[in-house]
Amino acid sequence: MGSLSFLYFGTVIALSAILVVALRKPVSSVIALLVMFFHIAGLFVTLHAEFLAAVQLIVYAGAILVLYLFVVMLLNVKEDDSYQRQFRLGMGLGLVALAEVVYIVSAAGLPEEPIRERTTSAAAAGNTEMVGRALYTTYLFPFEVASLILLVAMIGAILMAKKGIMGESK
Amino acid sequence: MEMLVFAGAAVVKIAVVMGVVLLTVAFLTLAERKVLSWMQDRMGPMEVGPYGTLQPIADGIKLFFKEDIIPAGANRFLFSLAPILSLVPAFIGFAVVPYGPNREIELFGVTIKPFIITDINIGILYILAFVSIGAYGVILGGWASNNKYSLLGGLRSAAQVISYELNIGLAIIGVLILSGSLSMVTIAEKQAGSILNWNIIGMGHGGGIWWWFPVTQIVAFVVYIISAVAETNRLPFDLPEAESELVAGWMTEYSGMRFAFFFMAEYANMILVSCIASVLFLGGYHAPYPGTRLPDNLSWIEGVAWFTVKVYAFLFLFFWLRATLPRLRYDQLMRFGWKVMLPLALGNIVITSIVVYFLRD
Amino acid sequence: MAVAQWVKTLTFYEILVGMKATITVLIQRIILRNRKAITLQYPHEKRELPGTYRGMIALLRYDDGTDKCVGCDLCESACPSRVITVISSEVEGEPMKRYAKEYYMDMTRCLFCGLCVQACPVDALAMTTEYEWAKYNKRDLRLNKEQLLALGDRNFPVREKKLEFQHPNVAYFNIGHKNLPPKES
Repeated sequence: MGSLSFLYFGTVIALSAILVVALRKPVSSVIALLVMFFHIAGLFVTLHAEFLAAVQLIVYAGAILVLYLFVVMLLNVKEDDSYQRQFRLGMGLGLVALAEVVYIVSAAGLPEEPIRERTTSAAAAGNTEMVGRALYTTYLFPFEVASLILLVAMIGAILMAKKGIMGESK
Repeated sequence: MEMLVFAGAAVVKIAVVMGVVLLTVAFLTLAERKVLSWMQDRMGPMEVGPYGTLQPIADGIKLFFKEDIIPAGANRFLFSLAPILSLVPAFIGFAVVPYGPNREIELFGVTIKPFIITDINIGILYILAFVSIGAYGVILGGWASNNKYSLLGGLRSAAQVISYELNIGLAIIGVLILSGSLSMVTIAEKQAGSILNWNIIGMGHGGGIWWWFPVTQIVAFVVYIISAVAETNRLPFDLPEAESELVAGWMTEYSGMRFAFFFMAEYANMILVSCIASVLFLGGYHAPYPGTRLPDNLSWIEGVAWFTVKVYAFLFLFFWLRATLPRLRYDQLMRFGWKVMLPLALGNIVITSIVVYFLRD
Repeated sequence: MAVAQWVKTLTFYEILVGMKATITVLIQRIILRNRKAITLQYPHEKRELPGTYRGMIALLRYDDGTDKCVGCDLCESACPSRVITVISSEVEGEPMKRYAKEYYMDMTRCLFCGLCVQACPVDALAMTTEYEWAKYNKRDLRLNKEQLLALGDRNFPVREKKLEFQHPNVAYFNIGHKNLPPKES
């Protein structure tokens, strides 16, 4: 049952991820991405990480992707040649990453069923609490660094948006 | 056998809830027109049935038999997908709403909770996740129609829904801090007692000598209500479908059952946000007085009745606002959302968490 | 002052005032029942129309059944929308006397200004209180003389006497009253 659902989610995720870059129309790509986010959330649910699944939908599907769609519709991007100059570079990097994954998997071997054991302890304590506890104890420093980076990005965006207005006033 | 009983009970519960929600949607279309007309010195629908009570049936039949038009140049797939994408998320959220007391009954050796379809541990997040998916129906419908009014309506809706979804999410965090849970049932159970324990007043969360200290969520409640009205695209925040500017916004090119899907989604969303508001802020199925008045085996009727009363009060508030307030301008909407609602919600989180920290033993 | 303004903003004072106004109307309508809707349930109830209502235009007759119209074409020239077409002709054997042989009104263009009624020297035209004239075919709204006379018969049962019988001084047009135009109908 578990491996069957993983097979389904994994296949759809891989297929829709390919479709995101392969489709010609930007809006179709966004739809493919939406399907992919949904299935990633489904994968989280099969791992008993309901909190992550909900956050995945709220943040990625509900907010970020809507903004993508917003931009795509505002700019009214016509059908574009997906295969640009950077195509070769991208393919090369992708191949390197694939080789890495293949190497790691073949070196370490596929895990038997480690996920079940870990999730039972998480489910006992409450999934959301476990995430929160991990974020604020073990991973406090990376968490703060990540929030700082996001803050910098936010300030940068405000500065860039304000530049034109301030330049005109001078 | 147990699996079968469990599945059967789930199907029955889903069927009942969907039936009640669809009936309420049908009733709401009539109730809205009647309430609006009463407030505006009119009569509303009067022709179909006595005092127009059968109007929803007539409307349904009309929409069902209307010609289904797909405009030239429209993206057929997305045009058909959009109504489904807005209707399904609106209905799916009802799965975690507790309609009555948190009881368990034994049926062929299987424990079943009769008043909630399923009590998942991230209930409120689940609803928020699917409500946020509902925006896709609007945006894609607007884009796929190949119509400038539809596109503008879709774009407005995208911006509005993102902005106000944030406020909804932040407004309920205060309640989540108080309850210490994301489950709708636990949140409702924590407000048991009397009206003073409801989160809108919040006297039941203290500890030690500070037991009387209220952790009121009234600010969060106001922020939630305003954001919910904006989120469901109702007046005075109905900019996405502003009739006088954009014909009907993203619904301009839709007809027949596809239009009916959008219409039903709007009303189902209204019911859903009303359910969330009553569970999160007004104690859900708890009566404003301590305990119940009916005997123990009938007390669930009281709980369901109080829940219904609260939900309908919110729905009436929706109509009331629509009858009273004019539509906002777009920049007013955005400024209000980001510069007023967001800081209020954030401040509420800070204050609530500080107070809860000191109240906790 | 500023404090009062702040309090008003924080308590949504102005919105509450508006909401009080709407709920007051609702309570008056539904609970107190001392307020009525201004709606008229149209096909079931109809308005009392004033006598000066400007509805469909009709041609009139004298009390002996002869039509009043003398075919002078003044209504046609007075009409701003060119609704009226009069084809007038002489009464046979009476070169001084004319009558409207054919008379058409294209009511699709009519704006019900009443200028034709004012222009008519013999009061042959009148405005009725009829208004329910929706048709599936717009050609049905091009009325001929018979239809216009029928409208007049229907709406004005009391007919005038002929001019010369009313008062001798009023009889300007139908001078030779002994040779009346042939009766139609």
